[in-house]
Amino acid sequence: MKEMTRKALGLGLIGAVAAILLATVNSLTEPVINEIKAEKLASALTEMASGGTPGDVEEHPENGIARRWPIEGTGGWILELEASGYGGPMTVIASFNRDGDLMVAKLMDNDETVGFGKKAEEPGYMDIFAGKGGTVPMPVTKAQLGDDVDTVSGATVTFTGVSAALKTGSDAVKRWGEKE
Amino acid sequence: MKDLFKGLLRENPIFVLVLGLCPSLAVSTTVNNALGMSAAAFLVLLGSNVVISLLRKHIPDDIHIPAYIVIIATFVTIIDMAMQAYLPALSESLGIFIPLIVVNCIILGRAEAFASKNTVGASVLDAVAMGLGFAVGLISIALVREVLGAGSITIIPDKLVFTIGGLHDSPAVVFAFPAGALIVVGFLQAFYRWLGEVTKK
Repeated sequence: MKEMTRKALGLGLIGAVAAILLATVNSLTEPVINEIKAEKLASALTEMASGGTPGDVEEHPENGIARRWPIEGTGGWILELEASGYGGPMTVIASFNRDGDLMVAKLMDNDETVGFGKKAEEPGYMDIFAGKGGTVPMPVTKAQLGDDVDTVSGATVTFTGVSAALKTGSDAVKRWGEKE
Repeated sequence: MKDLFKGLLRENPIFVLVLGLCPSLAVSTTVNNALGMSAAAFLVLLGSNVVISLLRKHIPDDIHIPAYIVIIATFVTIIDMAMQAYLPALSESLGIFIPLIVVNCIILGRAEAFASKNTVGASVLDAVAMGLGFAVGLISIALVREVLGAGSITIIPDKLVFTIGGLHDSPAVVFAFPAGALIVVGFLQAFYRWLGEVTKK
């Protein structure tokens, strides 16, 4: 029994020292990490708003949409969309006008393969979807891409994930528009 | 001095001891990732080797594995938090593989096989030797994969990237995939073992 207590105390002591150490480091790094996240989001939102001002955030308005911000001034919405890629879940931030047309989109968090799916992070990739979703339907299969098919070649899973997420966003914005 | 270089060839953790293969395959897509991962693994290895060696006479045998895991996990979490705060781009590209250093066999393997039986000084030397070996192994895999698979060598993303003319335009993309990583590891393992044989003679 005595031996057992000694072992338990030993392990407990190591755990306690570890906890104190981690708490100290966390208190130093947490504010810096939050600042980085906030800056990243703020710069993405300004880019998305294309001239307007992002309004107050609303968490999880619908399935597949993590957050939404109304664009004040020009109208429309900025959405944080949940997508599924080759390397697991991805986050896409996109802005839509009132008709559901995509204005700007950006692939944020993802674990896609370098040289393939990661291409979706490059400027220019989202051009294949820009202006679509309202009158012109959002392309969701490679066949609907026409000459743009080369942009997504080699990364079909990433393309399917991104396009499905953008379509979800566009459809939601159109629905919200009808309710108004 | 001989001990310091044991990790490079004779006891190379990746190619000879065949430890830590999972992160070696996963993060060796670019040289920059390999450098970051090597540095992170080295810092954890150094910290855990020193602490485990210091506590080796006080940790009872029955609970040594959980005790080691707590010590290693503490160092990994500290490195993870520091990277997220001060090297966010690198932290993002290494992603899940930083927390997974906790279960990297090289770290626990050295704690068990070396630090728990040797003095602090010797354990520091062992961490340097193994860290160096892991770095050389990982960077050589990443160098071959990035050159063939993407036609570039990324030291600092967007700032220090060398591109290789023809290969950059039409790379052998299989090397960017896990299958390519296995092929490269196979060939490099053969090369390192041959080099080990030659230098022994």
